[in-house]
Amino acid sequence: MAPEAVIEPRHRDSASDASACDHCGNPLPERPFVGTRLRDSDPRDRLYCCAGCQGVAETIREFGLETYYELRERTDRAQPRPTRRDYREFDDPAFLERYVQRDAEGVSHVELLLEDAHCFACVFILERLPRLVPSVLRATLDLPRRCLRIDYVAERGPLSDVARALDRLGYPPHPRRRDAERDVTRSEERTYLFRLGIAFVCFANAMLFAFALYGEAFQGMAKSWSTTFRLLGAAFAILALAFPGRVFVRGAIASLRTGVPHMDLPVAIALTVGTAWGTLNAFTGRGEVYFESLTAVIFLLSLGRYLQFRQQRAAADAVDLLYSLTPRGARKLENGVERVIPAESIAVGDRVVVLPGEAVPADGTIVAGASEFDVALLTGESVPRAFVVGDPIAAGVTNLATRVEVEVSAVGDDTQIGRLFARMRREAVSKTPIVRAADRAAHRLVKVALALALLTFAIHARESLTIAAEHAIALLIVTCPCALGLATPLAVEAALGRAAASGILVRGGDVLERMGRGIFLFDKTGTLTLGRPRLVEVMGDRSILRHVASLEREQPHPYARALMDYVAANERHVEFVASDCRAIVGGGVRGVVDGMDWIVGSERLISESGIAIEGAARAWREEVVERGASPVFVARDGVVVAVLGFGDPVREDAAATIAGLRARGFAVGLVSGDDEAIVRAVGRRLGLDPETCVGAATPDRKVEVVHAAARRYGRAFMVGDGVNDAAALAAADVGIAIRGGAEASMQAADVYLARGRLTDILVLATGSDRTVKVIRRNLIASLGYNLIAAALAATGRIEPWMAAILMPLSSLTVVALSIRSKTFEETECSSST
Amino acid sequence: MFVLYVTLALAIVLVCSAVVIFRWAVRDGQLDDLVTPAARILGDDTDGPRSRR
Repeated sequence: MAPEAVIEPRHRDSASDASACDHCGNPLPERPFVGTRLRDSDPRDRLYCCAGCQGVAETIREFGLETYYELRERTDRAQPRPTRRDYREFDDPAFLERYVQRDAEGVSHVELLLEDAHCFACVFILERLPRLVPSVLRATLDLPRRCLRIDYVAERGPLSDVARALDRLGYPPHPRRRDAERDVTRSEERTYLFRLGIAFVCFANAMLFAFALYGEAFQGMAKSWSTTFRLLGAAFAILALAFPGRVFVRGAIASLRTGVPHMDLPVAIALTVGTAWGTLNAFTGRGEVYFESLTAVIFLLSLGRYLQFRQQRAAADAVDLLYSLTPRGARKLENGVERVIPAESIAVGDRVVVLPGEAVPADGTIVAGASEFDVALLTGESVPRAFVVGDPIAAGVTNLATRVEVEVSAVGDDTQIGRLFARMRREAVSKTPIVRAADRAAHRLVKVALALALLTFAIHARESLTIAAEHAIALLIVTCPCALGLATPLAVEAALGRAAASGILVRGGDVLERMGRGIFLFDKTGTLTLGRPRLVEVMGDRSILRHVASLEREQPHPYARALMDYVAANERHVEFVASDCRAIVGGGVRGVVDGMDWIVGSERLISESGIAIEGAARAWREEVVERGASPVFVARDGVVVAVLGFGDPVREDAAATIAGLRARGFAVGLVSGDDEAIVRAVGRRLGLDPETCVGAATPDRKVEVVHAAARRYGRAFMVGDGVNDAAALAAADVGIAIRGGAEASMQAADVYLARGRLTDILVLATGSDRTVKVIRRNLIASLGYNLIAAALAATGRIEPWMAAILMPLSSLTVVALSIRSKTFEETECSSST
Repeated sequence: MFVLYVTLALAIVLVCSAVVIFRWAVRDGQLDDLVTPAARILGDDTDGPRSRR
């Protein structure tokens, strides 16, 4: 376990401070690990807190990369520790085929995600990878995405060499899935950027010519020049409309066809009418042209679209990184030999080995061994379930006790998890998109603008048809909702950036606008509770804890881990050595400690071992059960000496979160796959209406509950963590996944709480609320400018230069309002934790 | 004033070449990551004279 709690930001001179590790900055233990000086001039030997840091530092020194320590200006977080895995699966043909690309010249390319690459010093050290590994030609780091691209020659050494070298430096690598979708996103981002560039070129040049024409308005100009400038302006306006502006026209056509209000409609009307009329005027040499305003609209709106795209991309990248970190290897048994292969290349009929602590990679039947499994992610049940030979088992459940072999019966989409994924995708597709505030405003604006334009035309038609058309078109152009197009993306960009900095990853701006009044539905296991048991009661002789701890030390069972945590926090060191220690499936563990025979386990195991539960033991059990915990018995030499109670307590911040949500006017409910009685009990403890607490819910039932709640309360927001919540998360108006959950829930959710704190939901609710207010303020400001412009145009008083001042001014107002807004600030909400 | 026509033509040629260069840079992926290159130069001095890749 990395001692995360002791890390604090600090500037530190690595040579002088002798109380902290010279590599990671954590406090040194009593007897630190001593390493060689970096340079002969150093005053003392280097001291490290652990063998991991020492290993990394020695590697850095060995390859002459000491500059790393100079570049690293701050040691503000735990330095990565090597895992010392052998990364054999990196050499598997199936792995190579999936993750590695080989070009015609025999150079292979692979992308590895390194979660711990975060600073300038990391760039320095990682890009010098060719010095460490001869097969690597070039390593290029993309710091924002934590992605290292490696070009290597497979003939000179296997890929696992590269992985091991990275691990030695303290950056355990994870292969980055190569999917077509990401390539599309990348080329899309480039297209957005190129469009933005073209839009700017057109805008800047149209502006230049417009400036010359303003001169004409004030002091006159030779006719040949003014025609030239007008024609050149027209050329750039047409170019802007034809390339970057095409997007808005396409959007407007789609909006007309589907009948969904969209901002593109008024924009496209203004652009096409303005450009066509202006070009006509440029050729005939009469009337006004508005090319500078039109190209400015295209530029600013392209900017808004680009920002919007980038936010979504950043959130997607962050989630992509997070789920590349989940291990995806499987142990396949071939002629009795275990081989690590990528989980994707398992086939039906394969035999796989699942060790304690690992997840089952595919659906199948247990053919050897028996163990207990944590099924919480799949079903939401908080109590582990025992499986024996012949039992069917589903992918995604975690082995807790002993080694088992599984014969695979279904892979990929045919597994239980695969079907849940399919359901989740269906729900995600059927989710009705909301009409965003800006689009709603634009929808009204387009009607008003068209009506006003007709009115203006009618009023001025008596004077002359040309003048009437001139005024009507000027009105259409100046009411073009340019600032409106910027209003939402800017407010959202500012909000999402701040949210991400505090560990709240939001997939898109519309999510914030969805967070209106409604009901929050919480999953129980793993969301409201920690999802792993804790020792909550010790009845009987407390002194036995140290004996029990020495028995349980090596056991992966969650109860054993909970016990160890408890002992580590409350007792002194474990002094005994256990011998003849055996885990018993569905029961517990037995062994010899301090010369006595110990059995720790369930009621069944104790009775089967011929030990009577009577007298005090019976009373202890009753008391433990009464407090809602599961009893575990401790017998010493055939007599029960203590009863331990394990429970899955609710998170400390759950009550505060629920109270906070209520204070903000949200209803709160519970929906869980766990036993109805437990769910009710938890609900009661948190002060929830039993009517809103649903237990024993299958994934499908959860979806129904979400839909029903949405009908009743207006909107339903689901908070969950497991695979069994995925469909419900997708079905909800906003799905919120919490750290520590399954990949599926992350994919389904709109919001991901990376810090795993429930109170972040309050931060999200407050932040969304404020963002919506900022958006509304922006809309009012930009519509205000449109109103002034429309009034000027309707009365025929507008000149191109006025439009050219008004339009950017309204955009600038919106920019200023967005940047100044404080949407996601922590101060207010974090105090409640 | 005829010279103005020449400079106008010249300006347009410049704009067009800027657009072409921009297009190349975008397609080449030079604008995909704007953070790492800034970090990269910090370590450049320590390697001594280095041949350009």
